[in-house]
Amino acid sequence: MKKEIWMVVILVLVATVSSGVLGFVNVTTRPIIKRNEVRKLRESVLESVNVQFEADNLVNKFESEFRAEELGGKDIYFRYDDEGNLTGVTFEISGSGFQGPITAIISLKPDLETIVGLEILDHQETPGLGARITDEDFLRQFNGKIVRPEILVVTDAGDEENKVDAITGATRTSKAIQGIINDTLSEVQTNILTDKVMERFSHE
Amino acid sequence: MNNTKDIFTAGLWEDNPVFRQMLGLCITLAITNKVANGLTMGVAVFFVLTASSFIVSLLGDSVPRRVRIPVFMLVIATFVTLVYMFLRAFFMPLSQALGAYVGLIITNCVILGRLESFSSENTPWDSVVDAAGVASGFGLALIAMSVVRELLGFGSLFGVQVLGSGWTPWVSMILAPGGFLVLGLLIWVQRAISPVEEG
Repeated sequence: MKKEIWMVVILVLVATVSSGVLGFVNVTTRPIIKRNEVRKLRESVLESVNVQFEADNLVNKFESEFRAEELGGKDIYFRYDDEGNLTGVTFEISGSGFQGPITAIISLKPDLETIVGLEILDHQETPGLGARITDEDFLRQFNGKIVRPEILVVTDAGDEENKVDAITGATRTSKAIQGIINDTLSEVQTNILTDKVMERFSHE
Repeated sequence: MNNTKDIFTAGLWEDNPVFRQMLGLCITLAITNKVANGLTMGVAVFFVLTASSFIVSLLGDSVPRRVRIPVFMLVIATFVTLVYMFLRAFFMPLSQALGAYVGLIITNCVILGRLESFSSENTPWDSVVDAAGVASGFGLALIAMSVVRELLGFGSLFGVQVLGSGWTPWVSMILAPGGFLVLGLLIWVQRAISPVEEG
């Protein structure tokens, strides 16, 4: 009987110490992790429209370049030129990858068809294979591509305006990116950035 | 002192976890197509293994045999979660490159194996030395594999292109078959250098 009680005691003890340590570290690192995520989001949004920035002027640059609006529960970043004409919209897209959720930032021209830039925010893909969706070489391919009728990530894209080259050895991840772009775009177009909304935001 | 050195080199070379004990092969095959990934995984495993070894050797006999596995798993999981939070807070890009694999250190049988067969029955000092040796051996194997695979598969090392544009990358090297092939070849090399004593 004594043995059984000792088993319970030691398990409870180890579990208590473990949760205490983890709880403490979680509370101390959570604000830093949150800050990292916000910074990463702003960096990705700026990078997706190819705006240069330094680490210390990130916030200023972000706020001067974009007008953030929450529409239908989604953050949409509008960008205007000096005359106040709408030059682009940026928002987050997400969906299932091969191993877990993928979130990315996409920037489009006001026609909502021409891609200006694509940046990956977070993913769980296989290092060295699917994880190469974060490589510049892969992402830069999307610049200037047109999502009409839809974007296709294929083995041999050639010069076609709606096709990009897939990642060797990561077909499922490549197809996932294709699906995420097409699905989120059509959903955002029909539910959030309708013609009426785009008309409203077409001038600053 | 001689004993300390023996314990360390056994884990590093003669009883190398990957080449000799054939443990932790899942992670070894999965992440070794880039040197940076191999190195980060090596460092993370080093920290988790030495820290868990130290704690488990301190607990020693006070852990009843019937609950030792849950206790070991709790200790390992605690350190892995610490590494995960630490990487996300201070090394965001690395944490994104390794993705789900940091969490999978918990299931790395190299670690559970050492706790079970060594740390729980030895002094804290010997356990830490053993853990450091085995973890270095694991890291050595990861780096050896990833150097070969990244060089042949991408023509680069640490992401820097080293083989000229005339080099045609061996795509299969970065895929699973390349992993098995290189692992087999390296096991052969390691055993040719120090043959297994049949006994």
